[in-house]
Amino acid sequence: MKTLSCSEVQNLLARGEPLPSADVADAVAVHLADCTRCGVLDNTIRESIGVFRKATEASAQWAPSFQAVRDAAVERGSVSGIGVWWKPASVLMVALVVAVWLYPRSEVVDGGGINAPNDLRVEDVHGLASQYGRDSEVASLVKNARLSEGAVVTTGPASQLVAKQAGIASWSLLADSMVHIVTWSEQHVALGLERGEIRLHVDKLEPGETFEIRTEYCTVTVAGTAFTVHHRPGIQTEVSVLSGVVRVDSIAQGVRFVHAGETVVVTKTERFVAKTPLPDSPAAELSESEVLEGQDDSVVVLRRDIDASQYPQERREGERTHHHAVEKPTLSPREANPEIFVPETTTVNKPETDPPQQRTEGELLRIGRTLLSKGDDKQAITLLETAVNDGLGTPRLLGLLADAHRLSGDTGAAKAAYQQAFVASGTAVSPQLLVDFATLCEQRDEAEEAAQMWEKLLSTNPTHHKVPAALAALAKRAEQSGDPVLARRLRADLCGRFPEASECTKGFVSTGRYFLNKRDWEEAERHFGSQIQSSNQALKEAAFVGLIRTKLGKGNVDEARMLLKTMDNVVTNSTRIEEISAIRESLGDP
Amino acid sequence: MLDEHETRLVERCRNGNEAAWAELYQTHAPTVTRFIARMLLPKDVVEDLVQQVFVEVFSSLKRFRGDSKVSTWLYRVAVFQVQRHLRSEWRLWRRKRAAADVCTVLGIFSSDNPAMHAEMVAQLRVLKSTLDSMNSKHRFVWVMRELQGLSTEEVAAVLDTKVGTVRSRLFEARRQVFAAFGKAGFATDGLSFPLGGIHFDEIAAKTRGASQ
Repeated sequence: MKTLSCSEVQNLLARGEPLPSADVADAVAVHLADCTRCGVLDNTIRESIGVFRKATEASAQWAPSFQAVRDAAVERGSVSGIGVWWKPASVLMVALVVAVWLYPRSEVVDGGGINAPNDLRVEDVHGLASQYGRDSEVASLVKNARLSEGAVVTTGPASQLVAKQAGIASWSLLADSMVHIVTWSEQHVALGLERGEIRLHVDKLEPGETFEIRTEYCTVTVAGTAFTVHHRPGIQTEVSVLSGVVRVDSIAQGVRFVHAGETVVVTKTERFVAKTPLPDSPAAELSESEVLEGQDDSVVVLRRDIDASQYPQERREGERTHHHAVEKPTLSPREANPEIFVPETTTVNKPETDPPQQRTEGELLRIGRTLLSKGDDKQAITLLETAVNDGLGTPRLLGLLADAHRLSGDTGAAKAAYQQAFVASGTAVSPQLLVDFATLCEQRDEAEEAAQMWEKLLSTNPTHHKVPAALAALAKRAEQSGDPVLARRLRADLCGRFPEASECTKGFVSTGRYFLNKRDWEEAERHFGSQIQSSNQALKEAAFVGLIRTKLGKGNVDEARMLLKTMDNVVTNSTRIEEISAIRESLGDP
Repeated sequence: MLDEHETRLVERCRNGNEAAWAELYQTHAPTVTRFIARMLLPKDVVEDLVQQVFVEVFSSLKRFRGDSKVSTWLYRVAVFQVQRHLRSEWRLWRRKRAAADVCTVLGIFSSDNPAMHAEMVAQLRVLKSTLDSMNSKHRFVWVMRELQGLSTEEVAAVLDTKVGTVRSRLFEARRQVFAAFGKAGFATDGLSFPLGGIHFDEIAAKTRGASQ
């Protein structure tokens, strides 16, 4: 074998191209094995380049906004297509903006004058977000991108978008959601939430101004507040209010007002279900409250600090008259209306007295878990259902009840219990509940719902230990839905953040197999080559085997043989050993 | 050559469709911005140059024949703009300081691991100073190949030159980087080397074992 000098090796490596022959490769290998200086230098340089490349990724944010670039192009006056006709339009727009500025706000409103220009922009975006324009053109959204009236904005899995226009509102669209910007102006805003979750903070509205969110089950009208609307197509819409008051209109059930700290759910059958239980304290503390009663045992919302004149209610013919308890009632609302605030799926009970032995939640959880560990599913179910019927329907108890149903094989009842646990959790859903529900949905082949739970986990608990499982599940779903690009991105994220996770190896192999099946040898080589030095042994072995297959696919049998030689005494995984044996057999090697 | 989607996008841009312009910008602006920033130019200069690149692109799209990818064409315009900026003599003396500013802004010299920090910072400083002192022709090729991930053929298409020319410039750039690191006297543990993406640490170990 030829012996190479340091400078010869450096020259060969500096070319960056594949080495001319196997003999040269061997010679380089021998030199680097013996010469600590050369081997070390090359490794150091590659490491530095990798770090530098990664560190400079963030410089992409330095790009100016599209609007600034467009304005610069217009100013230069050399842009045809958008420049020539834009100039007079831009002058007119400036004139309109100035006209609006010069007039006091109330005059603009009272006179039905010109609305302030729409300048709704993306304040922040994580992951994938797109805007579908009126002409069906699609644009990926980046920071400072403008959102148009009439457009539909969507977010992908594990993604989030924050949009804002000062003076109107800011809103955050969570993962896998879709919102239609029906109307957007200072006077009137209407957003159509097609699916998913949107969190809003609306600036104080002047009289005559409206801000509403529409879903297929209800319309949420705002009066200067911070709130969340979560819509699950085919299931329900949930409205939670952080501050201020929100009016919720459903087609069948009329109007409800939701105040700060309260949450209502409008279900598929358009029944309101209040989720925030009434306090047990006497009504003396609620002297300014008002209780509204609905139809057909549908549940009411407790109103606080009302001023009825500000929120006129609409009534339909035949609807029962709402009665108002303005004076201090002698009974607490819970005592006066014990049938209210009961979960929709359970029977309404009106207990005369408390049960003789009132167990605490902790005790019930302990007993329930013990029963389940012994295999007494039925007993556990009976105990927990009784507790829930008695009004102790906390998220943890409902979650345990769901586990009990699942263990007993009744996945339908398990799902119903998980859903009740969600309702009881309000906005603070525990990550374990999300994981359990997602797992159950996968068991029931309800991929869509499972994906929603995984996405919620990713967006609310990005450091949870089940995040690798979530990413792997979403990648698999993307692949099954015919989106291999998204699947690869999700797997790359998984392996980048959790290189030791078993899901990483499975996903890595799955993605590599995709390239091999497509006979995309370049991509396959890049993909498998990237993990040859992984600290994860399983990943490393999978990468080697994948690379061998790639070399064979390209017809580089000699290189494949060289790789096979290196795998002796290195591979520990039985699957890989079998694969290697099969490859050797196909090559006719011993 | 353009694929179908790009062809349609370019056509819509030529017709003055603003959403198409926005899509073109939003798709390619991050790549162009990173490339210009990796030439170690300060943030305000990067913003200006990116804007100039796209203004140029918007105004000359009608002349684009579609015989290369849009990204190749954008790189070409970006290289031209950066070259024009670098040639301006009164800026030359500021470049070295600007390079340090860029790395500070991007947090290149920070690390969560204190043990790694000192050594990695030293390596990055060597890399930065080597790039700084490199001839711009070599630097363009090195940044496009090593950092942007373009192939030799793609770089040749961007620079409108032969593949052999790109190879020789890349060779010279890498030689300079190798020499700088060698001179700086770096030493780390482990032996591994790339061979078209394959790492043969096992071969090295076995060879060493066989020769003993």
